[in-house]
Amino acid sequence: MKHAQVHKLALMAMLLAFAVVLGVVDYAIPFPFVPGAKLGLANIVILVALYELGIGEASLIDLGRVFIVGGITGRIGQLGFFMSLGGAAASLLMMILLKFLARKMTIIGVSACASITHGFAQVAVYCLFVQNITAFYYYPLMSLIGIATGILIGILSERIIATKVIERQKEHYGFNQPKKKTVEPMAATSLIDESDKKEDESNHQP
Amino acid sequence: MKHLSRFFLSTFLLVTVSCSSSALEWPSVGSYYGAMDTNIVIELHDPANLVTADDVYQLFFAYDHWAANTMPYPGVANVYTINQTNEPVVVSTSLFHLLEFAWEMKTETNGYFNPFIGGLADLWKKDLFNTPAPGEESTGVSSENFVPSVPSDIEIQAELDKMNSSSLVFDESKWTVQRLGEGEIDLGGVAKGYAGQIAQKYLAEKSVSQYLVNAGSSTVLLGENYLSSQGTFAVDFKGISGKYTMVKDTCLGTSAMDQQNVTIGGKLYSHVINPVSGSALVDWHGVVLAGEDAGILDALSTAFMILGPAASESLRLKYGLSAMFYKADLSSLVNEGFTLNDK
Amino acid sequence: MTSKDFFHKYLWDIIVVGALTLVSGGFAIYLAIPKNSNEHIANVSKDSTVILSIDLSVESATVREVAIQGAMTPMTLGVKKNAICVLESGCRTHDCIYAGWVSDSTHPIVCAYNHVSIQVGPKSLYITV
Repeated sequence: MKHAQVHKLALMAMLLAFAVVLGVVDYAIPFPFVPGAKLGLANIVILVALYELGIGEASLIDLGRVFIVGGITGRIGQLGFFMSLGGAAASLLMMILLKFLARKMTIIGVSACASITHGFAQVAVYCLFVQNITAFYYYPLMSLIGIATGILIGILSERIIATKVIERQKEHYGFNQPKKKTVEPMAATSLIDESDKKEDESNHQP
Repeated sequence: MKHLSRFFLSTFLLVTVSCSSSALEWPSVGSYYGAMDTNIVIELHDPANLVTADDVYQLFFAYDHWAANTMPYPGVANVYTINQTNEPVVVSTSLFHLLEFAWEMKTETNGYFNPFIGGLADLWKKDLFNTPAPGEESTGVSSENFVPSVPSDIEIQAELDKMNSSSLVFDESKWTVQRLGEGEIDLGGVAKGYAGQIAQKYLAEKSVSQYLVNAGSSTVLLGENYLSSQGTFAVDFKGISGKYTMVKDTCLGTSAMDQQNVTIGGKLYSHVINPVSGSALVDWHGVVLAGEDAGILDALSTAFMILGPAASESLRLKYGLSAMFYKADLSSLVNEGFTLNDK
Repeated sequence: MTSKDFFHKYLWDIIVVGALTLVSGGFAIYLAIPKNSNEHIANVSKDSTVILSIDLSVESATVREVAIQGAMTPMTLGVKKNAICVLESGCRTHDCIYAGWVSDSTHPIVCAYNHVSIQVGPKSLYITV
């Protein structure tokens, strides 16, 4: 058991590293003309973690990513950091809600909805900070771009999950496996006693 | 006949539309300017078209140069020039009278307004807001690394000593002003209002009675409101939400800490320095005064914010002012003379 | 995968995301339509305080520069007849500069880095002191 948990932790650390790298790359790519719009590449890792590992693991990776990327880009304590934190928390919550309540939606739909929620939360945090709601005028355009990037991220996440690379890790090292159902042995009285059956037949011969 | 009636109808409509589109705007210029480290809005209605907003702005522009204590201007002897020497300096009559006025206000307020506040103000601005002193490009601390702090008692006392041992000597025969001592003159607390008073006199001389001059919301000159049948302006207050007053033919002077303040150790400090104690601690968050002389209002608004309602009452009555003192919550509002309405 | 299978698999995604796209798109188009109005006062706010109000209707066609101090860096605004824009800003992404000239209240300019927003609105009934 302990061996499995160590491997799970190593996998989570690797996913966190991927998320951080994608987050930093995301931060470096400006999206002109629409303030605050980003590709959201790090959400690929969060979605994969949520679908493959679970809520707790995805939450830890998401939170860790926000803090580490905030530290690398020097935004800890600044408005941009709190906007990222708010957006990440809101989008993760939306992913969790849709995954477990809207089971008919695929990962692509979940990703698109989470992307819109991310944008909303970021703008809301900004407006709360500066006590001015002007920034909400940008939100409709941000939503459209968020839907497009969310669909893209969802498609990429779906492809990654389809490769079963994490699935194989889970099976091999034995963590996050679904619980096996134990089969109850059938009751002895339900079996037909062959010897009783033959005795009956002999009693009924003309 | 048909074409003629169409022509007259079109002309009538054209005239009606063009008249209606301008009926709700000041027919002269509502102009925006920048001077004296603030934004100045000047709106006039002069039927004779002899006075423009530019003419009024030139007065503020001139006092901006004369009262400047951070840099010299070529060919102009200003406060910066006087601060560099202890010799008599020949100045313009306008600057001479401004300095005389500021020195008189020091006596009037028992030192709670002091034109030699410059050194103390620079000390607090550096420690509270990371603002470099005049002549310095920066404080040496970046904005990311800056942590507001309180100057030491020794530093404050040193500046107070310089201030209290300094004085001005005026020679009207030669139009010279001489600074005695090492105190630094800073007219930021009176120059705008004084310039406003000069502007108001100018408008009166030119028989312009309908005007609005708003210098950074801290000095406001109100003649009659051209757009109002009663000639009054509706004035509301940054620090007092939900209330307004109707005024005309008056000046307003305000002093407030809403834009420049810092909390250190649970105590609130602002850019308003007490020249007597040397402290920047604030009790009252703002003061609004109404009266006839914008220069007196500008000087007194700072002093009143330090003194509070009780201690400033005698000065308020002497100059026939209306005054409002407010803090963060409306329950602590002290109103002496303003008629407030609910929005 | 046939189209029938595709729609069967992604039906709910298409419905939900499609609805959200329509709503967002509708709002975006509505806000993008220029409004002819007599709103010509540009209110420049830093955090929740209006630090500057400019009557754009009395400006000339020549661009005039106005310097302001944002929360982090100085900014330069451009002001002309009935329009305002951000010419220079020390922020990283320059989203406020890319917003271009604005003339009505449906197109504010926001610089999140400097906590500055610029919105064109009607003339206030009050003089604020």
